[in-house]
Amino acid sequence: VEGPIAVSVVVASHGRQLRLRWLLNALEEQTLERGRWDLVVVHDYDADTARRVIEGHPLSAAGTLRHVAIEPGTGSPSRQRNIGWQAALGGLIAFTDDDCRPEPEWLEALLAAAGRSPGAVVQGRTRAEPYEREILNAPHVRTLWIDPVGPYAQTANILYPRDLLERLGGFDERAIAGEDVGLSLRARAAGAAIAAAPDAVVNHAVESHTLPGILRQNLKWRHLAYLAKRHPEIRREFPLRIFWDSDHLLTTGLVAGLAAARRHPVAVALALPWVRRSLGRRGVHARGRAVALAEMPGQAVRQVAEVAGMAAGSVRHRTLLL
Amino acid sequence: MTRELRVALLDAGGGGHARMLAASFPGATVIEPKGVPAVERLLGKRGFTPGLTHVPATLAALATEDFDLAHAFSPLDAVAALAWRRRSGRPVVLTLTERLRRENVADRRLRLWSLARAVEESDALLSADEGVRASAGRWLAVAPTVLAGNDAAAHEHLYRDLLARRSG
Repeated sequence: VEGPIAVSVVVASHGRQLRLRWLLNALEEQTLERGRWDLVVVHDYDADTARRVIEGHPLSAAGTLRHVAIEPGTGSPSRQRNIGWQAALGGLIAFTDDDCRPEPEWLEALLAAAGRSPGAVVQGRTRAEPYEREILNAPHVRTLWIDPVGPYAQTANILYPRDLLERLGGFDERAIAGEDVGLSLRARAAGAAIAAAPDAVVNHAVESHTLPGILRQNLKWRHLAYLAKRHPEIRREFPLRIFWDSDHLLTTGLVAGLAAARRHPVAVALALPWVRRSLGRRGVHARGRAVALAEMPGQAVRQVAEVAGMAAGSVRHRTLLL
Repeated sequence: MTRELRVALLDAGGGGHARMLAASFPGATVIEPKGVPAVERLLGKRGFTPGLTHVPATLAALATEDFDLAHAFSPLDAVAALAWRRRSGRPVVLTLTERLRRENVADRRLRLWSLARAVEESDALLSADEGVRASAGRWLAVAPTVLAGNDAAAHEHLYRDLLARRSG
């Protein structure tokens, strides 16, 4: 059924050309009629890669997919998404990420939810990619689970009315991390509701990293202090209003307990909640405990580095967030 | 596939392959590295892709002679051959024999890494048949040349071409 474009999908891509290709394949299988949606990819790939991965895709030949290439090194998720939604044709803008695989009914379900809640932001469900579940056995893993409506409105699976994006001025391009959270907070402040679409499912990649790799990957989270400074209301979601999550709270206890234990041995008790949680992260059976124990030093290094990074970000942005 | 190619090259006389490495070639050295089952099991439990213990074994075997070329039939063998290429400067050919699906392109740790690296860095990329070629196009955005396993002449031509390019 040919008709006006109801919804545009916008994807920012950098350094993940194969995952982007898999995303395009998943979008090709959407059940929403082809004439009712389009797709804009904003990327910084070289011409040869763009030709192979994007222009050579059947969605390009069908006229559904357009792409915008920006100079390598000049992109950021915020800037690329802003370029994308401004170039899109639809009245509704669905965002997903280049490390995601939407289920075939994703767009149809998002569109139906948007129809039930006109003017609202719509958040779908995100889960770890079922095809990559084995990778969850790795010690340092990056993936995403969201049961809508969650507090952070990540762009892995979210839909905004275009006029709302125009009123808000899109993503804050000064934000290096948490730009999607910032946008949703501004949307809420502008009176927009956030509606849940639990049947609009996106599968998020499960990526394992080495310890140095995950430390590098997590460095960007130090810029979340900028988000907390710009949107102090987000602190309601934080344990004690200053910790990003409960892991960071327990990690701070670990560091404080170990640091004070020489003078006050009883202070080591501050480290116990962290040890207890770390020992339970692979389950309560003996093998799970043994694996968790073996992984504990790496987890400690990772989490202490994360908290230290957040402390550095707090200094830089002059607001406390650990 | 490797068995088919071995027979075809044997029929063709195997000429010119005396110092060439392939996984299973007549007139060439055949490397069939043995994995370490106990280590494989342990790695499997931690989510790693199968066959990782073949990589050091293949690399060690490649170091035993002064081979002209390596022809791998799996991404992990290609990764070993690419490491060998860094030292030897000799070409690496990869034949994709497995039909790719979304379910198996990144299902285990190091699977995507080895697949992407092998496909991007090998000097020549082949596929066993049209189905494999189509799946490589869909999931890896590459267009390997289809060379049937019994086409010894085409393989020989490719090897000679790669070696000539190296020496040229």
